[in-house]
Amino acid sequence: MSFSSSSGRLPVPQDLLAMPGGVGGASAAADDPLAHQGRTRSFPAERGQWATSVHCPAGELLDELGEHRVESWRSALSAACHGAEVHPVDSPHLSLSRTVILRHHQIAAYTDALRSKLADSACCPVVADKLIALPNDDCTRTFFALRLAEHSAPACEQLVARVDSAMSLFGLPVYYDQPQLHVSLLWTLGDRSQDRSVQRLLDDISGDLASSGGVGFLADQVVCRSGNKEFMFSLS
Amino acid sequence: LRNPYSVKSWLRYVEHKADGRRPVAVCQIYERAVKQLPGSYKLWYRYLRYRRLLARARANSPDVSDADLQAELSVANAAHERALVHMHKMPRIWLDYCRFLTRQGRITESRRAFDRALRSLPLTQHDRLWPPYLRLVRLHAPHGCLETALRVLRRYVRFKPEGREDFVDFLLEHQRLDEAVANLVAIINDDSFQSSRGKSKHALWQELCNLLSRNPLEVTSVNAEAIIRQGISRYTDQVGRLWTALAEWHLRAGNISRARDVFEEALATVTTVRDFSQVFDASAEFEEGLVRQLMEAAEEGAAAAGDSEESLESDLAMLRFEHLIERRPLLLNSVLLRQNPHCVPEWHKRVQLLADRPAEQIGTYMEAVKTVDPHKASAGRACTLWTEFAKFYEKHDQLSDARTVFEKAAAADHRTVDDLAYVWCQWAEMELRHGPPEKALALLAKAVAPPSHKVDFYDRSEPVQARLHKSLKLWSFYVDLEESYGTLATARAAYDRMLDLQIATPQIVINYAVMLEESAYFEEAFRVYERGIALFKWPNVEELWKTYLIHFSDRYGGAKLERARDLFEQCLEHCPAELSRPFFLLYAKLEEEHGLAKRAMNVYERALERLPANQRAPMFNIYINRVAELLGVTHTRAVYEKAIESLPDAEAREFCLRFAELETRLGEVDRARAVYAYCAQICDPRLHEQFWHAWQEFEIANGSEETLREMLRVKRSVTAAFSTQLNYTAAAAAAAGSADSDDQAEDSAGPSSSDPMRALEQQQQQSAQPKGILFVRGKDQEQPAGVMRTAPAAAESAASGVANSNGAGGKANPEELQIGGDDDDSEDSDAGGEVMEEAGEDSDGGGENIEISELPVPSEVLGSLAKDSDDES
Repeated sequence: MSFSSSSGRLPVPQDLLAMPGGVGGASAAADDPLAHQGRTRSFPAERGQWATSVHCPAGELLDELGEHRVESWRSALSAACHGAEVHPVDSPHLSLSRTVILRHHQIAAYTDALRSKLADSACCPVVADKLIALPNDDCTRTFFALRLAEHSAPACEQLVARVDSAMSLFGLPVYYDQPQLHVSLLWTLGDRSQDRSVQRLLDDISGDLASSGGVGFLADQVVCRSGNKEFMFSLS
Repeated sequence: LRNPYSVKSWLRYVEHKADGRRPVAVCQIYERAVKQLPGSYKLWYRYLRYRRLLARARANSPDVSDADLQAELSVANAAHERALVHMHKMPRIWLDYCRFLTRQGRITESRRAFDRALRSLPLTQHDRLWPPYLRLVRLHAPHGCLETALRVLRRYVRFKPEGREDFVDFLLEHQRLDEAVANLVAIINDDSFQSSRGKSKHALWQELCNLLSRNPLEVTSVNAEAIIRQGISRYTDQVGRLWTALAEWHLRAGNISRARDVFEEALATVTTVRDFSQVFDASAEFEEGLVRQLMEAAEEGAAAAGDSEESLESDLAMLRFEHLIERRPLLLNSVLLRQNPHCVPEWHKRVQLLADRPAEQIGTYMEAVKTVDPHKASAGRACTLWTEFAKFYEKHDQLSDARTVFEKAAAADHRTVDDLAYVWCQWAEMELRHGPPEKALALLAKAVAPPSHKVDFYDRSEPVQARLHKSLKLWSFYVDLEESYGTLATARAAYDRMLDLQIATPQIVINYAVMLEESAYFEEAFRVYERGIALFKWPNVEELWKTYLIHFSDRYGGAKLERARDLFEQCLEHCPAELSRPFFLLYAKLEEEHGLAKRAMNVYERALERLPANQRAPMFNIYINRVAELLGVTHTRAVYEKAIESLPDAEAREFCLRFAELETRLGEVDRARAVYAYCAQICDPRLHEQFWHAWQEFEIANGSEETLREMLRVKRSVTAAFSTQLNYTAAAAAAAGSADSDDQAEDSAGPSSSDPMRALEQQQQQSAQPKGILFVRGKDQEQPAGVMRTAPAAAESAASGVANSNGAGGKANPEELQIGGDDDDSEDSDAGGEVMEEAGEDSDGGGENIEISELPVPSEVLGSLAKDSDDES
């Protein structure tokens, strides 16, 4: 029997490591970043773990901006990032929570709690007037997002507070301390938020947006996305 | 002789001459005859026999010289030789000749004669020749003719292979081991060989192996080791013996290290404890012998000159010996594991045996989890191997490795879901011991995650991993952790899922509800109870209902009375009668405290209807107490009546007494008396003395002379009624045996009832009872007079009753029945005497209102008692 070498520690038999199960075993699904545009998972996909987030869909915002405007931003940003590829976000949304992990048996209870928390919330008009660059938690990606104008933020922050209260019921992490409410439009790999050229470009675009009075949409429903399930909550 | 060619005439001639006087003449005639007829067997045979007889007679007679005898013998031998010229196909002639020669002691000649006989006779007749031939050679083999004998025997074996066994014995006898072994091998190899002595092949093998092992040096013709090894593989029941034999062979051949190797090999391969101990003992003996030998040699050597090398050698041997002894438990364990590799406790034992060698322990664990098939595991659960393995790493502060082990264990095969759940629980417990509880929580959450497809928990074709998510054990642990470390919401989610999966137990439901109540979610808690109640059936749901109802009442008290009532009704609707008591009590309590007393009474009534008979008496007790408290003592009368009516006799008696006591306390003497009178019908004075005593006391305290007498009359008639009942058996008599002799005297004295009297009594009672007052007693007035009349006789008969009662009551009875044939008068007088006596006694105790002294009783009856009572009154 061969043992894996070690100093002072008791050895672990190679036979054991070769057995199925666990990290080294065959059951862990191989994670290939190339399959999804170079993105990496921030937590491993595991049976029974449901990645959950709460947001307001912001498809209308895209309509209002117009496809060509977004496209032009994309190419400009790509150039500013020294040719790095910039992708459009699949379905733009206004995030109201972090991405958390729910257990399968908690989903129903969680959505129930969320429903009761959001029961008497009103729709809120959302206006965005600034394009900013935001890195994700582990700085593997940068999002280019429209930031909410200061006058429309409080209504949304109220929504966030309600979602947070549902989160804390389940002992889950709440949203960031000083939330920068935003709608992500584009993303690229790596942390580009500190790039000078990018900053400059963003400032320009923001200036244009602000002068035109920003773009907006009416957030009239909240969506809780858990794994591949979506739960809709209409706002009054 | 006219016809020289007639055998008959020659024979007659011989007969004529054979008078024993001239043997020479006879011989001559024979010679002439065989000359004429050389082909006649008859003639030759007779002639030769005559010759032999002659020779023997000569040999026996003391006056014949040695030379004569020799001459005579040689003539006889010559005659035989001549005969054989013609008669060489005659086995009889050959045999006789050979025997004749043998008897003469001419060994070589007889051997040659045998050889010639064998040559000239056909093969089919050889078996007549061989036995005497063999006898000859065997007889002379020890005397320097061994080689010859061997040759003869070899020829014999060629002729008759069955004789090999004897040949082998012969060879062994003469220390020809090599050849013996070769012959044995030949025997064993001959598939068609049938042992003439009934020995099995097996026995022959054993013999061979014994031979080989004992004589390693002498046997050179065969490969002893190969033969013994073959034996080991062929005869599994002799493995221990054969291994020892092989080692011994090497040892005797002087090959000590080879012997040691053989022992080691044997210890590593035997599969039974018996073989093992055999081999081990032999091995230990061998090592010990070696040590002793070396020590002795060393001592001698030390005397001569201190040789360090020799002492080193003996030290080495000593070490070897010690090592062997030390390894014994481990080796034995190996044997057991070879025998049954799925024996879990043996694996654990092995790990313990290797206590101070962690690397080997790890190896053992690894081997164990690889080898043991959980489905075949015996005497233990295979999953404990995994958990112990992980714990081993944990003990050595290698948490990550312990986790690895658990990961593999979770993916490995297990016999039951419970086993896998055990692994997960152990894992979570380890995490709890060593880190924040969140880790254990996450772990269990992972474990209870449902699989991607629907799985039936009891479907054995599915792997246990797929069925794990319905394991009650795992979920119980998980909800426990959630309750302790998670938030209320997560704990609720977990509990809800448990209920959804229908794996909750009533206790789990209660835990859930209690948790909710503690967090002040009362309505939710009650909803959980409802859910739980819907899940389970009676009687499992009992505890659930109980907790629910108690908690509900505690929570709302009288605030939601209607709802509480509904709940109780719902509960009692399906509740089996024998379990319903606590619910009725709870219900009644609720009604008493928050509802209406009437409703409470109603509940009690219902309970009494519903409960099985054996639970009713305590219920009546409670009911009576409650009625007395809520409605007043007088209302209890109805309940008492009901109780007495519906309860079985034994309990009814109890209630009667209490009822009567109550009435007495209330001053309703007549009512009390009526109760006593009623109860009397079910109280056999022989068995229920207490009742009668109580009544008597009552009458003494409250009644008058008439009533007392009335009571005694009733007692008599009841006694009479009971004594005719057939069920007054020996057992009852034994029970009555404890009653004092006074009572017995009365029993036996009281003869059987006259039926008309009893009927009359019942009639009286019926007329008396509805009014609830005294018995009608018009007729009984005469009785005292009767007593007076025959009092002396009564005293006598009472005395005789006492005498009778010394025997067992059962035995006494038949006699009494005969006495029962007496007329009414004497009967009355019997008991009457008794009554007086008892009454007198009682008045001693403190009764004052019975005016016995007033009665004109003869002094013989009462004796001094009457005077006493006079004094008192």
